[in-house]
Amino acid sequence: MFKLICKISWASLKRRKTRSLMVILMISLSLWGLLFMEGIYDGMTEQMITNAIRSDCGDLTIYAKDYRLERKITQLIPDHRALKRRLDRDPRVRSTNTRILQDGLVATAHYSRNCLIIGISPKSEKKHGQLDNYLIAGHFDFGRRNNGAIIGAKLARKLKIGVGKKIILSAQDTQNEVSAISLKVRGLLRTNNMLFDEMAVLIDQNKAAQMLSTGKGISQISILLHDEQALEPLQKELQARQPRLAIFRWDEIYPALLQGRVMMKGFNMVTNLIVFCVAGLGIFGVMLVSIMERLREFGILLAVGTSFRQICWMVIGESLVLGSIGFMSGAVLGGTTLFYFHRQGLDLSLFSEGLETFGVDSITYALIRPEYFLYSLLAVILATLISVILPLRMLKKANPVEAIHTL
Amino acid sequence: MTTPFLSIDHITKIFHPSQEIEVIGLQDIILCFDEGEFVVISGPSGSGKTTLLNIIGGLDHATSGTVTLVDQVITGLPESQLSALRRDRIGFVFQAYNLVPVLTGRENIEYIMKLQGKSQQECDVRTEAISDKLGIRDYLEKLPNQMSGGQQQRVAVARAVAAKPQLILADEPTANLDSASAENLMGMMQQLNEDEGVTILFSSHDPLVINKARHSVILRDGRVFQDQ
Amino acid sequence: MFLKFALKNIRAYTKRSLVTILLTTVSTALLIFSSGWMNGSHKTMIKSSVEVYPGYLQITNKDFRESPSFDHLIFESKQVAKILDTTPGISVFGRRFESFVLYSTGPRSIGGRFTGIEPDTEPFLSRLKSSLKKGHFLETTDTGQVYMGIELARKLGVGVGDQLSFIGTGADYSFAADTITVKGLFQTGLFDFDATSAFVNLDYFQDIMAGDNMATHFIVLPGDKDNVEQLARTIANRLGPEYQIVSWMQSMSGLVRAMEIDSIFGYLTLAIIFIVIFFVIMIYTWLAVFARIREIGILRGIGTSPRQIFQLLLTESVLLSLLSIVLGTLLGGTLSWYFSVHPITFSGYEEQFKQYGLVAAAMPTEFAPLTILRDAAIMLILSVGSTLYPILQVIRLPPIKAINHV
Repeated sequence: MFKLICKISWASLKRRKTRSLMVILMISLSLWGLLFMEGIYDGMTEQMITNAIRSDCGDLTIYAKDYRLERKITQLIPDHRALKRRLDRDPRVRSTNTRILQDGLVATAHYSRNCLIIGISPKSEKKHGQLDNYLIAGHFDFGRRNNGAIIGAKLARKLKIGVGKKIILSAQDTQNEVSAISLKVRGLLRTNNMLFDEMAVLIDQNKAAQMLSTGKGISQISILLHDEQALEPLQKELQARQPRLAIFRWDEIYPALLQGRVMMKGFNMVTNLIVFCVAGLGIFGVMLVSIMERLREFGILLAVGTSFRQICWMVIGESLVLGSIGFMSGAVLGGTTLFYFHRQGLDLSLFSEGLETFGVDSITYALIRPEYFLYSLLAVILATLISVILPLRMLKKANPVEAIHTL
Repeated sequence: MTTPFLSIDHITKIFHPSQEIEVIGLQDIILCFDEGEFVVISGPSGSGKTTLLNIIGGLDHATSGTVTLVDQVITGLPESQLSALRRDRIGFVFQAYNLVPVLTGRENIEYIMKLQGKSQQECDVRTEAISDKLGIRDYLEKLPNQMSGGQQQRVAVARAVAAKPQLILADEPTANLDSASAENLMGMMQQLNEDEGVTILFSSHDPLVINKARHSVILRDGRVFQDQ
Repeated sequence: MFLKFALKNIRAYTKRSLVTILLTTVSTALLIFSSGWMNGSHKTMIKSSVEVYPGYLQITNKDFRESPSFDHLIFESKQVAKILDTTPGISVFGRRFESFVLYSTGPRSIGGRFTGIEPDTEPFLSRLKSSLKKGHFLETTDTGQVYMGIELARKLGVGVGDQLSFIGTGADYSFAADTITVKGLFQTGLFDFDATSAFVNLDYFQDIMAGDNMATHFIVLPGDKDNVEQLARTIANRLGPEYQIVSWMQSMSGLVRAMEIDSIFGYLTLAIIFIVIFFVIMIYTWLAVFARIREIGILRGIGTSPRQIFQLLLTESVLLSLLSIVLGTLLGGTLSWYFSVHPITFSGYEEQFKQYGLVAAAMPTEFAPLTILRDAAIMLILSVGSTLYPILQVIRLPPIKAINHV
């Protein structure tokens, strides 16, 4: 019987090729567009989060207590080496990285700007967040005598300097003295983490320790994890074990990014909802007419012994076939497009000036998540099922057996 | 020798329900009709009556052969000219669904005249005259769903005749009517034929109706079986 | 004749007409409101950002933007002021002298902006004065008083009345340093700005930084904010090639482009929704037209030409569309107007706004009749266009097929 129902459903759709095709086209085109937008928007948002995590805070960041509020150079993490060793042994931790941080002033011969001095180890940064991948000019090192600096691309633009130019860096050290050093620009970084690109001056960690008289202390330990699920448990654990330190998740350092993620989810859901409500309306129209114009046919089927339930299954079958074909073609189109832009990236460098303002990379790599397809499949199935409820009720009311006798 | 009013020369119509199947609807039909005739085309179901009327009226295309109405060859005309032909020279009465459901009886009757560009005054005069003649005054302001089958057909005939065509084609006009209404309708058409001088060709398989015609053509399996 | 006929058909097939009207009305309202919302929010973000500090028009030395150094200052600022005084179209103008210094309290030191402003004109050119949170704004007689961003003050651990020192480079490249007292604290809502900016009286600044008669910028408030480019050209003609005059559209081009991208993505999303609506209207038209196919066949049979059938069906489609679009325009326009007067506020997304340097608590929609008309026209084309395919399909059918349609 199931085979027969399928056969009848399919034949009914074939009989009305054009309008069936219109419904299928409607579902597949809208699904294609939706999947594409979802993947690109999510890709953009996640890229921004990844840039922030890789360039700055990691999944978790450790500071001395109250450092984040007061940002004093004297607020350093004590016993950081022992802590780092313990963290490196934790199976949940992928890597750790230390930095010295201090607000300062960077000056050229003609101009000066406030900046954030970051004392790093290039080797460690490469391993940890692959910071070297963000290099757009020069080298990711500080030269043989460690008297080089790597600066954010926006900062370099504001100072009108490039690789090879000299800068003077000044800042207050732990003894409240203003200390100044002369450095040569070794490289430029563009992370699209706006704060970083506009403010960061990276110098050798030992040089920073010397300049700022921090001794063996460091300002920040950033942690990258294997699995995001370990974020909150590890944070709680660390905080309990280290009451003199403050441990933050990335979304606590960059709440705007988390808000962005939430907003994007909400936006995608609303768009999905609108599209599937309207698509459901389209399917409803076609199914209603399909049923009403076959009243005599249903009457004959009922007269020869088919149950109303079986008729319902025929109608539902028809609607599901429409929906499934639409979904499959849309999913294939959407999936192919997403896969392409996942590998090649969507090149938006035409809009790079504007994108920079938002901290968005010029090339966006789309995300492909199984839930895109799952949710849209659920939506299509729901739309097809809900859209036949009313037509079936009208069919029951219309009394098909009587309809046999009408013209 | 005078030119016949309507001549049908070697008309053949072959249908192709699918690529492999061929159905011969009409085969080498030769017929001639004079102006003002009242003709019935009869025959069993599937004999080709409707097909022949449709080809004469330009609604369908013949596979081969020609149809000539007075001086104009109808077969092979482009669609725009066929529309003009059906508007100005040929009137149609169908078996069912004749009237436009949203227009009243009056508006249905005036429809073709309006297509012809006649003024409202001319339409009013003609509509009054025809509706008096056909006794359909009472239905002029009604919608088709407020009329019986017979009333609808009478309004359809009125519409066909109001536009003053040279030829009226009626495809089984009484098929859905009871015998009294059918009798009534046929009488009306006969009267019109005599008064207006319009040539009427109708198809039917009802013997009571067939007897009304002066010229009878019988089709069988797509061929002319009898023409008298 | 067909107009009357079309109206009768619309009335007779109420269900179909109502569905089409509803769909098109809602779509029109959606498009108009979305456009108003996008344009309104963008304009607000830009306006707020421009008016907080950057200003509508900036005058600098012709080389300053390329190479912002003390070599490329406005050296004759008083003479420039005299010329601007007599230039028509200027509402207010004022000078600024921007530089960077290292601020220092006992235990802390932070780099930040150090800018000399004219306290009598600055309140008209920016929102500095209106952003006052504690203490007082500057006066033209102030020396050694600083008006500081609240976040910068917090980082330095100072409040109103506290003293701090600064050290920087003067206009003659010598060291410039002094002790200053916090007179007032401001909060614009732009976190970065509030965390890095401090202002002093220009006279004092010029004195301490050896910058007599000098400035880095003139900021101009135009009389007509919509004709800034025109004013820029006028000023450029008067001042000559030594100076560069830049409108906010250029100085904040990044933000302008960002808003453009946001619009593009916004319209793309709308386009997806409208593809679906297009098809749904097409489907409903298809169903409606083919439900009347026998009737259309009869009409063909009695002499109506295909062109006349097209005219009839198109008239129906246009009438339905026009009615829907008028309703949708009224609905969308009313919503746009209402939310332009009672803006939508965004609680919960302040962090996002702060990060992008946007100051916008309340986002009004834009109520622009021309844009509304444009959107209405788009919807008209879309809704009539979506009915064309079914109509053309039905008139292509030979009359006999239409009459015999099952």
